[in-house]
Amino acid sequence: MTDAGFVLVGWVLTGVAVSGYRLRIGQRSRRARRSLADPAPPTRAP
Amino acid sequence: MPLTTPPPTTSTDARPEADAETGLLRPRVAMVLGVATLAALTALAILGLAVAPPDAVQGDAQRLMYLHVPAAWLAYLAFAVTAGASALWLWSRTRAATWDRLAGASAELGVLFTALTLVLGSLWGRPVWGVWWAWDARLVTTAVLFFLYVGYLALRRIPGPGRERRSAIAALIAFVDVPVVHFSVEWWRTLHQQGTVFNEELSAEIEGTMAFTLWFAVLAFTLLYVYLLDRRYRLGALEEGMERRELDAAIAERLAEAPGRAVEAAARAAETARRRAEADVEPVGGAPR
Amino acid sequence: MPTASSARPVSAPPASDSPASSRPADRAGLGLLREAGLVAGKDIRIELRARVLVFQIVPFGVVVILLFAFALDPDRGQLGRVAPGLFWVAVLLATLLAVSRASAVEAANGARDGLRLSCLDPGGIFLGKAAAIAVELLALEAVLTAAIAVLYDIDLAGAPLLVVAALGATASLAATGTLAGALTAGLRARETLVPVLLLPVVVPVMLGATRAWEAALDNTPSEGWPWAALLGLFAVLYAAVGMLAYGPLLED
Repeated sequence: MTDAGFVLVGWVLTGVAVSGYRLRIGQRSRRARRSLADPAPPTRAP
Repeated sequence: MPLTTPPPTTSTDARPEADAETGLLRPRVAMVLGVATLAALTALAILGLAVAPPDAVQGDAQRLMYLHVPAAWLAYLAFAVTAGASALWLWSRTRAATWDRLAGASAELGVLFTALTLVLGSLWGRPVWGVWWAWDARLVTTAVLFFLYVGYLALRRIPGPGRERRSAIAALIAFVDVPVVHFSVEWWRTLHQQGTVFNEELSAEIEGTMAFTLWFAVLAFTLLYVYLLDRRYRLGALEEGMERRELDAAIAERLAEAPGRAVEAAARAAETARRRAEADVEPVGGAPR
Repeated sequence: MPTASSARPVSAPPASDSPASSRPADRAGLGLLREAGLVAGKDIRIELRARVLVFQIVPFGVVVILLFAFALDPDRGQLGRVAPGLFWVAVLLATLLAVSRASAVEAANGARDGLRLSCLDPGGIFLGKAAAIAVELLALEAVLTAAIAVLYDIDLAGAPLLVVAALGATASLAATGTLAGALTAGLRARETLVPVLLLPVVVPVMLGATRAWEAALDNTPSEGWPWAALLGLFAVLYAAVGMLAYGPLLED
């Protein structure tokens, strides 16, 4: 693999890791907000 | 939206939060920060991949430095925040749930960026020095740092009373260990007279565009850290609220069961008595089953 | 019914008329060590009756030493060079077992509540528990030293350095191990959590102990004594951390 290859892999990996993490936080936040907004109390812990 | 004030949390130490979603920053500020972070990272990509010249010795591979160095900085910053927040939690005069939440959020970010640092370091080292790994103080300490805080996160996941205290103490144990690890590994390598080539990466003279890009990268990543920290903190607050609700619901359910059983028992007793009366048999012994 | 695990009320240090023990600082120091001795004695007595060390932990250690010989071909002469490292890895793994065992003993019969309700200084309790583990580890190390001398054909040179380094390393492992045990007390995931927490922390101990023993066995002890000093410092550092943290941890 050429030098450029390593550089590309590194930058892409970083981008994927950071945005993936941000998206995951967003997903869990949405789920939590939905659960808290629900007037019916949860029956069992998931 | 208004939520009912939650009953006292299972940890008797922390003050209960009235609002489920609290953040470190005001929502408007957080949004602006998010936009700024995105812009800065985009600018960094342009600078780092196109504008900055390739290194005289390392060639294009050096462009990974613009990610690896800030990631390492972020990792150590994040763990310092975790240690500070843990200390604040442990000190009774400043104890509050917010510090525990902050410690956890920052540690998670720290582990993410430590992993990134290690991977980027390998990707940088391979083309430049032909090795995926080198046993020098910085790399080994970073690897140990990773495992120290993976352990911390594992401990945090375990629910129950005293969770905040356990975690806070573990964070400080880890933090105190880091300089000891660094010193002992450094001593080990210098005694073996392994002049590691990895030392060159930061002591080399970087000037002009490259230096600017590096500092810009540190700035951009710091913005990223604050932004992600606020997000993760918020999520922590939300999930704590969710846990409290589930706990309350479970308790309420348990309480509801009790009168139900009493009603059932009474119904059974009445049925038995009725059957005996119909069969014209004197109840022997008295009490129905 | 806790018997050996519940503490007898500690009598106050003798309010003697002799001037030597009349200063409050002296009395406090004596009290701490005496309390540590009480707790250590209790733990060791429990161990002597249960004999987990002798029948389980020591054999474990020797088997590990054997297994390493399968991994590294004895005929190639490598075993001698890596013997110190293998020795200390075996000791570290045994420490995990010893800590797990000590935690289990505590968890049974509400012994932790007993300790909490006793008027013993938590720092003293910590020191006592760490001391008991240290004693067990030293016994193990004696056996394993003989094992590597025999199985790996090691000439035990530089005995003073070997001993001092071993004392420092053992104290470090015992202190951090007791701390890890206290952190995970009562948790169900305890057995897998202790290694994850403990192993990264004791990296400097492994480094120092191995280097010190290498220097001793290589007949270059001057290179090893600084490492032994590092081990001593590490032990003091984490003994202090443990003494500070044990009280708060006991409360939960």
